[in-house]
Amino acid sequence: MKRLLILTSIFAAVAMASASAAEIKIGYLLPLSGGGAEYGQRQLKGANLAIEEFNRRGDAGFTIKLVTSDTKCTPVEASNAAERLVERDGIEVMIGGTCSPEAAAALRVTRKAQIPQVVPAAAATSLTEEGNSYIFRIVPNTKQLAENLADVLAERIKVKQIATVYLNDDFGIDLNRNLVARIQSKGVKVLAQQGVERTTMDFFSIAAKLKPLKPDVVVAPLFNKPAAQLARAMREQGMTATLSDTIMLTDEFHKLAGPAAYGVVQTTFFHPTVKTVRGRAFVDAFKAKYGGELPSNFEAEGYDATSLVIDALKRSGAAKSFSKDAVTTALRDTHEFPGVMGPITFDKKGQVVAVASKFVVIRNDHGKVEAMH
Amino acid sequence: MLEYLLTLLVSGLVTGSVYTVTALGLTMVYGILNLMNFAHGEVFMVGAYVGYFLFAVFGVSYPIAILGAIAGAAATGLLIEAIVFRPLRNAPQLSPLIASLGVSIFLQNLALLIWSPTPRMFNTPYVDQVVHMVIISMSMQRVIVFVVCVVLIVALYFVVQSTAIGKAMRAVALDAEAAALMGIDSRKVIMATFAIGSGLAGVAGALVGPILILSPFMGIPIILKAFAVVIMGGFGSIQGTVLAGFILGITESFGVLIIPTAFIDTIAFILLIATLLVRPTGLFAERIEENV
Amino acid sequence: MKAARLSGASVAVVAVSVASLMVALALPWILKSDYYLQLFALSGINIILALGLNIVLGFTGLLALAHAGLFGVGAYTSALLVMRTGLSFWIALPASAAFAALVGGLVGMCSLRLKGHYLAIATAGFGIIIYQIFLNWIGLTKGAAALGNIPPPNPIPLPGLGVVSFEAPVAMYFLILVATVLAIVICARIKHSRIGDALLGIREDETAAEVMGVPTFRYKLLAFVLSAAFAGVAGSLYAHYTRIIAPEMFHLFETVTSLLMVVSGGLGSIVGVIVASIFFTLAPELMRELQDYRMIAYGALLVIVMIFLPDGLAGALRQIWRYGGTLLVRREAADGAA
Repeated sequence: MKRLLILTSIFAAVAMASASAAEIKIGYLLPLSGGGAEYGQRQLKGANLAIEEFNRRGDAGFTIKLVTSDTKCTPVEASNAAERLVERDGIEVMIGGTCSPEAAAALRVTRKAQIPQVVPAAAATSLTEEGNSYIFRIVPNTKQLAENLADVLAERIKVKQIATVYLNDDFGIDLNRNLVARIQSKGVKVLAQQGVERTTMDFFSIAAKLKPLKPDVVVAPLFNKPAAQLARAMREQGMTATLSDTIMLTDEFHKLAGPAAYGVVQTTFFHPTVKTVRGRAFVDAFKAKYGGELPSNFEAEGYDATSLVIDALKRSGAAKSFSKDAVTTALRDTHEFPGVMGPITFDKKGQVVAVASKFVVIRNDHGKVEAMH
Repeated sequence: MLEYLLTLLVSGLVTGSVYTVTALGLTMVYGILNLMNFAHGEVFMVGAYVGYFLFAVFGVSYPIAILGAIAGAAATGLLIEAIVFRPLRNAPQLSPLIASLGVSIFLQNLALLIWSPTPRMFNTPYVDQVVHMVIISMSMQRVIVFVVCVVLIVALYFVVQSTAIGKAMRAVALDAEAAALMGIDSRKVIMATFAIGSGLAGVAGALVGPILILSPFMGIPIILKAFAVVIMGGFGSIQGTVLAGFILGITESFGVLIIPTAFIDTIAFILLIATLLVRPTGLFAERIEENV
Repeated sequence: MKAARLSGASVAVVAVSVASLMVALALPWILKSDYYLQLFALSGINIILALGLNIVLGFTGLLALAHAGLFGVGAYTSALLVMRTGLSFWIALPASAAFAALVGGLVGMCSLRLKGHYLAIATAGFGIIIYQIFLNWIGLTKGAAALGNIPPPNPIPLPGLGVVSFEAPVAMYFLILVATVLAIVICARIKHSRIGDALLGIREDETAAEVMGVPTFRYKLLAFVLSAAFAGVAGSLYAHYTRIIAPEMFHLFETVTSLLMVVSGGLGSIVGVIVASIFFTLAPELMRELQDYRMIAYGALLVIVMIFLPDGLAGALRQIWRYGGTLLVRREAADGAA
């Protein structure tokens, strides 16, 4: 009789334990194919690491399943992908937003469904200016990025005159405007501002146009591919100006631009040489899981976004009962969450406070990358 | 300022030479078979990728990689001819046109699947060598593109005008039945034309690959501009194609001065439509087309 | 004999049509899922679009490749009219159709002196110019950032139902269903009218038609205008249905999908095009895992259909029907002889 009682209790306990290890789904909208595929793939690696670590620890009373959907970094696909995740897969917590128009489209869907969305990468300031109480962006916005870059160029690199080459979309125009305003206020001359399209292929003529103006630095917040083409074209033209970019460059740029990549100055907010405890732990874990590969800021974004959501789920009591409103509140109440990119706290608009670009990365003549903190 | 204008001119000549070579391949096929091969742009793309793989992955020297690209492109062209165009030889005009559109889409997406959208840099040693010419400078690669294209254009002209195969091509183009009566094997001539035409596109691809970045869709702007050049120059006319090709290249290059960069690609179409409206037979019409 | 066969066929067609209509009406209750209902709504839009292309390509034999651009003209015009000027959807819809028809007419005026490949390239060029305008006139269309937040059609009072709002997918589905049925009916009327005869005659042999006194240019232009109007209607419905539009949906290569629907359905056949449109709308969605292979399959299909099945599905069915009929006749003859 006693043995039966013990056995039944054990069974009951096990049953309760497995029942309470509920699986919670997090939706992640990513560009997995198309032009922005590299950025999506990198984020996914970071996210998967975070989930693996969390599920392995298994001490929160629930496990996480990541449900991804490909946005191709275009607004229409993003809108469809978001709707699919929300309507067909029943997602109630979303991460996503890499290219700004894509992010805007997805946010429309989550906002209407009253689902919190953590934005890991898209920087256009407008996203947090629309009174959306469901957005939580963990990276600096274009204004912060631009001003930080301007400060670095003016104060550390001490430039006297620059030219800018920017992408003709929400993100690029906004970044350029803020950059120009800030750097002019520091007494630097802006000789020319050249807008380019996503489809522009002829950087040779653009470089030819800028050459006679003799800028010290050409500031070109562009993606890897066009930045590489511009760098090459500048070199072809025999320009001595340095190229400068912000968060969009990864090691791909180095491969694409070859010798033209030497001397390029880049600001970013995460670099594998990070010295914080949290950062180091992340880099080591990443290397261990992915065969010695080093993470860039995109992997860090994926990791932090996912870790933040998991943390918010814990704080909102999702182990006992899941409520998307509780998660939203928990996200809003986040205070100094220890992300690998820095502590995360949100302002009233859902914009993270003070992560800013903490690293200046210079790719030197020997192809080695130096990061100055 | 002078520097800038000269650079634009030179850039236009380089682009123009590429357009011309590609368009010549297209017009050759049209001359023989009376059909526009939409998939010609993909043959160009195949040339670029084959050249890339041979050079960057298999470590072959650049000139040999170019030869490989020609072979690959010619093979692709012959395959298309055999599988798609030969069965439709006697079908109504619309059929091979639609079919070639299908081939184009097929090849683009097949390339996408096999080679993935990762941007690849075709880094020949010439891309980083800078050549200084008086007051302007450019990479050696661009110089090579221009020189090779001009050589090919001259060579093609010579082949078509003076060699036996060239004469056979012109004969079949003019009157296939009569040519057959004269003992010309039109099937072989057609195959040769396809091979040469596709080979030209392949060379263009391998030459320009290092300047652009390879992508499975890189053939799309090229084919549309090649069409424009062929129509502007007048079907079947080598001189016309050459003239139109360089005009387009230079106009696009100088276009940046007046038109916002976003609309540069539209120049080709505007010129095309203007030609169709004003002088539909093109600059140097060698044949009166019943289509206009 | 012929008269008897005709009515046999028409009875079948009527029966199938009525049955399909009943299924279509009952679909929201059969499917029970908004997600799948939306696929059928999309099919309806694609049917209207493909039928439009069928008029110019199937009936008249003109490879006009500006179709996706005209679709976009309808979509953007409708969205912008409603969002910028506060016009009601119910006025914006016909207005967009009319504007698209106008643009189609202009394209036709410029291109129709040409034939065959020239026409194809010229219309493709126009299609690309239209696309570039969508992409680069950012002030008007927001370009690649996409035009979102397009409102659904304004609520209207319907007899017996009160004021109907179109927020819900079911309502949109029925609206699109009505439009699709209308489009099919109009298309059928055109086909069996004098206009249809003229267009088919031009397709068969334009020179002969001219000799017979048919004002071919005028009819070809009419075909262009009609097909553009269809595209405009489809575009307007599409914009207010998906609520977000971007230039990339109206690129030249989107015409390929409509092209595939028309060609595999059977140039000139209405039923064939309807079936093909539904198939090619549902298939990619239901086989999402195979998305990567979708365009490869489309390209290959275009080639295969052109080589082996140039008359499309309809042609194949017609052959089977005829074959079946011949079998029947032979058996009757055999019975008679015996």
